[in-house]
Amino acid sequence: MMRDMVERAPRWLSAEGKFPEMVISSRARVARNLEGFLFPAKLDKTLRKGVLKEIKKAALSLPEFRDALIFEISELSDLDRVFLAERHLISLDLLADGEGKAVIISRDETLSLMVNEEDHIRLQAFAPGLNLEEVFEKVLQVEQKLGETLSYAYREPYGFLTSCPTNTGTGLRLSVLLHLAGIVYSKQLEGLLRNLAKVKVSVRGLYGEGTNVEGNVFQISSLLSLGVSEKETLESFRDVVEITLDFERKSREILLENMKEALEDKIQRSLAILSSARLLSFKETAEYVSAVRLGIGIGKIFDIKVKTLNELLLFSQPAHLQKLFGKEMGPQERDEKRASYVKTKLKAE
Amino acid sequence: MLCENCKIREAKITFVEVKDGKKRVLHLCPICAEKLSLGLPEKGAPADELPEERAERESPEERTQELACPGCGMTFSEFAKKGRFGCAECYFAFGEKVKEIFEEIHGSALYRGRRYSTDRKVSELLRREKELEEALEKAVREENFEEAARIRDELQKLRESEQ
Repeated sequence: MMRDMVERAPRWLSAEGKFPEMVISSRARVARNLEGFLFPAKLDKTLRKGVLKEIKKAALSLPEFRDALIFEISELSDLDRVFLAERHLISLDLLADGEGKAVIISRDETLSLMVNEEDHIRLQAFAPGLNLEEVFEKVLQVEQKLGETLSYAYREPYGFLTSCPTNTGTGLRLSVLLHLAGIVYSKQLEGLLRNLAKVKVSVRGLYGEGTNVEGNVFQISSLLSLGVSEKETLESFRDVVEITLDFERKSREILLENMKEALEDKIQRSLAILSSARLLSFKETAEYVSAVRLGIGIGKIFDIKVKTLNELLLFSQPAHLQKLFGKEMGPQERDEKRASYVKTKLKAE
Repeated sequence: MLCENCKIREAKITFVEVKDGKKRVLHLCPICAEKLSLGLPEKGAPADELPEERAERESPEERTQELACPGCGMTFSEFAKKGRFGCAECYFAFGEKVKEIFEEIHGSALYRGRRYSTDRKVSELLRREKELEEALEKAVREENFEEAARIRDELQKLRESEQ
């Protein structure tokens, strides 16, 4: 099953949506628990498996999950688990072993349903580019359909009850992966972070909580789920993203005004290294890809597609690279294969 | 990541403290970061504390007075340490403290999302199935085969109705 996923990128990296060079993808997720069961961390193995059985049955009866891919985490190798995490289909939390944990993924990888992670249900919808409305509608629609057969833990005055108090209420979280090279290069990141802290959103690295920022890609997520309706969450988060994108555009203008040559030099050098290096670490690859991406954004590079850069970034990750070459590799061999993969991919453009 | 000091709020600040010539890095929420930078005493358990150590630190009175959830047995200090509820009952077992936590995190403790009707049957069935399985095991253990056969039939009927 997983072989189908290797060699092709998920739809949410297709660069089809709005502003794909700055907004890599949009995501919405809801957290739900089933009434009458302890939350997963406290639930015994037999009941956890029972919960999984019920959720699986409910999900597979929906057209959205027709021919879905189902992976039980305890049956996966470490490499396969990391592979799914690199694709954002499972969280780093779900990497840890535990029976009765699973993920159900729609064929086009625009929906993922994690079972018995921190909550019984973590449903996520993904879309390429800036498309918060699509993921918002989709995730709530599927959540409602699942709720016709499953009974969610829901009580007044708190709404949907979740394992972590940060998700209680609507259980809804919206997020975007943003490429903010302009802000980083013009050294305005601190200013952005200061402003974002005031509006109740979180800023994290590529894989969310506790991860580093690589290649100037930031994950920005909404934070509130009590005191706000789902619609209000969507509207206020959309505003925050628009403001951030404006900030990025202005930063790029400033860079072009003040250090045009240096910026163009950085972009062209980065492309040259990606096209000819013999060894590339993931961190380096992400940095050079970011510069080339910015080059496309400011109209200095025309012959490379954003989609190609998305794929380069995805397959340059350790588990993807190993799956792509069909063997386990140490860091040194990975750097070599990564460089050869990137070179070939860019040549094919 | 949760704040390493209060273990309730989200950590947003990396706090570096130098004490007796030793450097210590803490991930803190803005409220605790402010408290610590003002030199106020830390509250909550140290991050690397073992349960035995905690029991020693807390007086017996403190332990017996503690709220425990009737649903899953989680105590309030266990919740404060992990920052996770054990079950739906915890929300009501810890009373006003839960409201205060929501006020801090979300600025509100009131749900404003769409309404949801909770009149469903599925979890009821699963619970019954588990009960019967346990009864069957017990009957077999006690060599009460008549009873075991009866339970087995009931279990089978229940599973068929689920399909």
